[in-house]
Amino acid sequence: MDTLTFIVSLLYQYADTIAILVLSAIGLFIIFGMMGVINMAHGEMMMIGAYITSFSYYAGIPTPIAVIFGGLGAGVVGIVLERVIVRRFYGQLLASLVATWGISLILSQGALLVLGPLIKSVPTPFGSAGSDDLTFSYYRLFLFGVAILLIAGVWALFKVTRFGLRARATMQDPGSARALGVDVRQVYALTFGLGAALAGLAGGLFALTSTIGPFYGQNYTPQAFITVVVGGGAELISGLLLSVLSLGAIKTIVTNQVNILLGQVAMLVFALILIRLMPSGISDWVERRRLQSRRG
Amino acid sequence: MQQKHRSYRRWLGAGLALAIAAGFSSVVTGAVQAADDGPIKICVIDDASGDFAPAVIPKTMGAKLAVEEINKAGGINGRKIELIHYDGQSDPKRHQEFAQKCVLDDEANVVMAGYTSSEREAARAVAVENKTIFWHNNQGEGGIADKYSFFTGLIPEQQILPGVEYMIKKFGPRMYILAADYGFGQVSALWTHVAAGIYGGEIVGEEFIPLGNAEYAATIQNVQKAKPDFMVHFLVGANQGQFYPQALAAGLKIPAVSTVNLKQGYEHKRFPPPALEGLYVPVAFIEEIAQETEAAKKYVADMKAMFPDIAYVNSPSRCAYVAVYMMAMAWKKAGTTETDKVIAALESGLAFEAPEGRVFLDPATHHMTLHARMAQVQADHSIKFVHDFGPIEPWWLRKLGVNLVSKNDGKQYLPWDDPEFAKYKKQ
Repeated sequence: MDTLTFIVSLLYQYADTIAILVLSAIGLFIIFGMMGVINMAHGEMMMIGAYITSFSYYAGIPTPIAVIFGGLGAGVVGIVLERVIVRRFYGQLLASLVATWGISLILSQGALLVLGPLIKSVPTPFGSAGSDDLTFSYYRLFLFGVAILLIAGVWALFKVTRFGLRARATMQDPGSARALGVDVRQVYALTFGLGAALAGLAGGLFALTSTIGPFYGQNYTPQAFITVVVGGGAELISGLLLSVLSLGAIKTIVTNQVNILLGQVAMLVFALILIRLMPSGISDWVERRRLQSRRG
Repeated sequence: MQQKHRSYRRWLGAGLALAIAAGFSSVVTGAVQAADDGPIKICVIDDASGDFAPAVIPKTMGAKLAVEEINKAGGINGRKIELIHYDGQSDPKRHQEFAQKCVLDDEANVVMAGYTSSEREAARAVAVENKTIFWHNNQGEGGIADKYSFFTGLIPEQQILPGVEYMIKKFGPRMYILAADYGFGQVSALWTHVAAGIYGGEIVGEEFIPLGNAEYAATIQNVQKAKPDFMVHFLVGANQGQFYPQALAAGLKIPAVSTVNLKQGYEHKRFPPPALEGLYVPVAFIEEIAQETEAAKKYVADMKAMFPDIAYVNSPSRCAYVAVYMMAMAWKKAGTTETDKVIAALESGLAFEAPEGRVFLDPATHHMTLHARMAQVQADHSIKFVHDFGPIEPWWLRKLGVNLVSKNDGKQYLPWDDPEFAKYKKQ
């Protein structure tokens, strides 16, 4: 096989890994980065998105709309959970962790009891292309595009819109924000709902390429958590980008050159080293460097 | 406010306890008695949750159907059979714990447990240590020679050897192995090397995939680069099954033979066609065997009548069904539930009309002579049986000189324990 094919193949795999990491982590990232809550029910938000997508698809709704329904449905569930349970645990990291873990257990086991161990997968759209040597799935490339659009969208939402301004103000100092007339409760609920909706959207998108069951989201949560921990909460977008680009590179190269198991191991080892060197994540480290150089 | 918080916490605590109870509980059917004239107890540890649940839930149903039929027909010498089911949660550790509960608390007469080889070994060790009869009701990597252990599924000489031989003749010698990275997958890959050695095949690639892995972009491209004539799949669990839709989406069009997929996890029912087109699976039983035999047609109908929600009447369901009937025959014949006498009855040459045809429990190896057929998945995911291997004996352990009637080996043999096969070991 020639060098060009090899490079194209590696780039395709890199894009694929990045897409999976971004999509599975972005909802968790927003909830952790903006609210300081570790949402253990993240995987179940993805599961809900996937279930709604599958049910909608088999009810005759076109695939893209089915996926969007998945995201919206998970967002609504997220807002309800925030209002009923999660809001009682702000500022208590461990308590919120246990509470969301409880939600996770109830939702996944509840889905198993009520809906059974599996539901039907949705066909993957778009088909494939390539040469005799290698073929590529258009849908996986499409996922990469969606991942980039989502990052851009989230950036714009928090930096450009009024909601973003209020959200950032609330996260910085809820007391002052409230004094200035921001409806803090609403901001919290919407932010949590947004995180859940993005998780649901990712769940719906992955549903087109995988098996769907009650524990579906748990395939993606470990890597989502690693991505968030490595990225850190200091700066949402740069944290997510740096984390995904570095983790994805390590995983892709080792998987491609050695095997899948060592690819996963290498990603974990890399995350461990990084956390040892930068305990609050890459984004925090970069942010401090930036401030230092500005002062210097 | 303080009061409200406290009551809230209590509520949350209760919710958590409930959730944990839902997650870790087991379902015990019927009352527990421990008298000789009480019911005979079959303890089943099957995954009702976790990665393997889709394949294993029908297995529990197969055991339940057999128990129901036998009890309706009057039970065993006047005694009823009681089925105790624990949810193994797709976790070997749970299998070990529940096996202890089965043997020590429930004093079960037989333990039937394990989907994967790691689950099986966790539970089997407990049963064997306590001299309790153990059944593994699934296809497997074979080689276990143990006085207390019995098997109802296909083993390598009944599926890997004939399956790979068929593929070499049909498609050519070059094969690429994709195997789950644990006991069963590793040993099955060794058997594939043996098959390649015997039938003139060549292994052009081999990948071991961690259980639970769900992303296959790299694997698919590795296969494409190696350009094999066919693939050999030992992909285990709902997550590894995701290989199929991803391979379809990526345009990977290479035929494959699998001893796991389709017959356990019914991927052809779960994934939209044509994801599994061109997959070949050597089977003893799958739901579509109803196209072949009247007994299978009746079995599938009975299963669906008793369990209208069943997703697919898969191979493990039939294995569990057969195992319960084999035990019933042995208990009747022995006239007691005393373990030694029941094992002697099991080793007396029992035969049974299984859904796919007559099966025979080999006294020397505790494995079964099974009728195997090659299933081929069509573009619309219907099944065509393209070859009939006929009944295949479990001959390999006998070739090694195993005879459990006279001597208890109490160990698992690997292909390299066979001096003739050792030469096919990869360098």
